[in-house]
Amino acid sequence: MREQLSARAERILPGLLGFTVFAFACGSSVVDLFELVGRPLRWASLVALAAASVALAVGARPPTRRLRLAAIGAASLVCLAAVSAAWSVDPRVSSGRAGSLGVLLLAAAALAAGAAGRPELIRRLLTAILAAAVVVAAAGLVVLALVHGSAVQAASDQYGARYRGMGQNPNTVAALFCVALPLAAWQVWERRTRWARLAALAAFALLEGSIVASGSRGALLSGAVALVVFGSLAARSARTRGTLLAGVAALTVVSVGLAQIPNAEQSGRTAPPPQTRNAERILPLDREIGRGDPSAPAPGIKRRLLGGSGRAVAWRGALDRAAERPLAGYGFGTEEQVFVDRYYYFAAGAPENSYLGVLLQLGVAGLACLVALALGLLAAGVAAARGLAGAPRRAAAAAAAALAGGLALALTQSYLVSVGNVATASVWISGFLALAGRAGRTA
Amino acid sequence: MSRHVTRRVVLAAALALAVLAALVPVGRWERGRHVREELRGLRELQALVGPLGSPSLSAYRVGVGFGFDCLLYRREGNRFALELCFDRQGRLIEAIDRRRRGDPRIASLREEPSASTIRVDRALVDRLLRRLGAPAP
Repeated sequence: MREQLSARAERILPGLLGFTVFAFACGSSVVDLFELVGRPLRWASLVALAAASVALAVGARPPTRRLRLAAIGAASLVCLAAVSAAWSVDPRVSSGRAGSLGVLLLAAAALAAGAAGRPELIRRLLTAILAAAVVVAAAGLVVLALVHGSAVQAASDQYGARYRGMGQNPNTVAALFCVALPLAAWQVWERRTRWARLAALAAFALLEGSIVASGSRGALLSGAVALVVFGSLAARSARTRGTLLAGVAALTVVSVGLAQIPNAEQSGRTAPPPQTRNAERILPLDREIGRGDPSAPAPGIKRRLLGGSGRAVAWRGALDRAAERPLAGYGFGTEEQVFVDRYYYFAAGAPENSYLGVLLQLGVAGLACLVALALGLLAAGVAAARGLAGAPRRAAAAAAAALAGGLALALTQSYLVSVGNVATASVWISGFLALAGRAGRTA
Repeated sequence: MSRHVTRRVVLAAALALAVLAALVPVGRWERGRHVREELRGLRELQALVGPLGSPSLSAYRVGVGFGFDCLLYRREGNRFALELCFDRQGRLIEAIDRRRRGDPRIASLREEPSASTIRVDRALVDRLLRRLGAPAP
């Protein structure tokens, strides 16, 4: 009975995983129909994924020590998130978000336990994540062709026009593509026939091209980090490694060159009539700090590759807020309620740094839990990849690289513990799958 | 799993539970302290403004943030020097002092308006908003 259940779960899991990643992308889509269908569907598919993963794990051998430690780290973070409802500014939100994080991390850990030592299943699961990302990128092109205005975010006085495909904003789906990039590179390496390799190359180009077009600087640089980690781990000879890293460097230079960050439209705004009594027209609360003299015309905003997003000032503001409740924070899931964007050069509802976001939500205790889990998972994934050879090694390297890219991206985007985000599930599931290359001991 | 490993796992789980249990009073204490500090800042700025309908009332905001309305007061040529923001129940939830230009001092409970114990007559706020020409909420 147990074996039957496990075998059935194994058959459906790759498809279910790919569908879940796609459903999460739909849930954050600019296309109303996608969003309408995706919002409820993503939670249903996540629960189904967790249930199938547990069924797979039940029939598996006991997990390795690394996986047990990672699962304990994940459980600690989830328990802390749930307990934070006791002091949260919004206990209902904290409980709900802790529950969804728990389901996701349960699915990730159970998948890794069930797939441990089964390279073919790991390959199918990682390929499913990649396939979902490619479908999302291709859907973006379809939206571009059919509803150009939806696929391209119009220029504003904050940003120039940017490609967003089917995502809600240019950073949304770019985050998923950044995580999937090392998986595409891995497929290029693994495929043996000419057509299969060409298809993998096309997938890689589609993902990288979509990131470049989005102008998402965080995704661009984090994608490069992910590829460097993949190249360093997958290649066994120094020569191959050097060639791969040189290729990544060249690709990054070309991508940065192509991703000419469009400048914001000059508002051309003169000082508003002094007789207006609506302060929001002269000194908007969400653009007050850094604006300068409110009676003078608004200064122009110029974005650069490293800087110009106003993040540094917003991060200082977030740190000040965190310092008011330093040890335990304001409660899990309340980042957007607690962080207030008052910054002229910054435009986001969250501090756009997952680590600062967790510091706000769960204080130093939560940040310690998250960093221990993330770095522990990464170190264990790297060690696991190094202990393998051949195709399993490259698969583990791709999974660890996806996690590394996700952790790098977390420096510039608030998403790592927000399960509803497009990339969150892919990052954690890839991270746990990196540990699955080696089988546990027999019971 | 050996007995030794099981014992270690149980010990680690017990330690984690103890840490979590200890965090509950810590988190509640931090919350209480933060609310008290913000309330003190709100009261100070409310006292600086004086009566809500004072002649220095110079500007307004409506429906900002999570749907609150604000009254702004002039000081030394700065029309936006002091600002008080209220929710629909008349609770004071945010106050800003801009007398030092470029470095506003902010007291706020906008993440948890229900924690504010400072209330004003909301009907008076609505009358003052109308007097300033604010659109009806």
